[in-house]
Amino acid sequence: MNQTDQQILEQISSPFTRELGFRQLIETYQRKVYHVIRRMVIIHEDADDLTQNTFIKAFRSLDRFEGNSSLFTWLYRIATNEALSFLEKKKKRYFFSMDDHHEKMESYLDQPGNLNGDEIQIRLQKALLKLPEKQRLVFHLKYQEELTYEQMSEITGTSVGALKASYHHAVKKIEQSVLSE
Amino acid sequence: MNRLPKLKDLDPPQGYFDRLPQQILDKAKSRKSFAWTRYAAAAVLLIGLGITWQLDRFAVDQPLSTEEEANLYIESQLWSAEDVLSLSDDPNALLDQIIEEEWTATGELWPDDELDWF
Repeated sequence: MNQTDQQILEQISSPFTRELGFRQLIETYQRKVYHVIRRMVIIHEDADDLTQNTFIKAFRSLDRFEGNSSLFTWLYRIATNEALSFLEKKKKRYFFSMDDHHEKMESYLDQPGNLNGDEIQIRLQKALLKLPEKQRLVFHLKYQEELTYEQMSEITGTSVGALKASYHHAVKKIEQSVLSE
Repeated sequence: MNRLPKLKDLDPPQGYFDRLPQQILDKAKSRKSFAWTRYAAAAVLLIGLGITWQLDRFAVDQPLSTEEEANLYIESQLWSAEDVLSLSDDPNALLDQIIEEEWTATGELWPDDELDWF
């Protein structure tokens, strides 16, 4: 565990500095948590809700944090679970209404101000949306976050071998989808 | 994978990360402060149930009617049959009434053909 993590945990453990410790936790990890969620859910308002939920859940369960992993890995586990659960709920709701959340995310990418009309970026993001959620997550954690497979295994609870296979297939699909058009 | 560019992260609104820590802390505090209401509601329910139970325990029994009191004495064998009959103005009429009621209810004690054997 790094020094910042140690400092944060020490502050949180004391009732006098608890709030200061939580604030430091948020300030240290808010951008990483937000972006890992936003890459999955695309829409800012959804990412905002889930980011806040992630930190609130982290506060509630910080007493159970044993320090076997870094705070970063632990927060990422909560954040990715929040994002995947959210997308799963949206998928189920689709069966009962005409609201296709997938289409909503795609059209959000086309809005001005989001990717500034960058054709390749829009194509890449839309190609990623075609992947199954967990495979999309693996792609983001490896390609974008540049995590090791061991770190990804800790976050997702999946074996390194399965993660490697999943990432390999994701890359193939994305390349075919983006470069063939 | 070198042929593909890195993804550009979608940007949040201006000043988002400046406001986020306080928003989260405020939310966390408000969720904590509402938790006590659940305990309060449970306590009120328990106290209400307790009071209801206590009121039932201390409820005063309604006085018995004359007939109910008499049945109580008979069932507890404080009164014998003679005691009860002696209370009546016309004990013989009372006995006749009882016999008539009992006779009708049970019907004949023995069927006709059984009476012949002796």
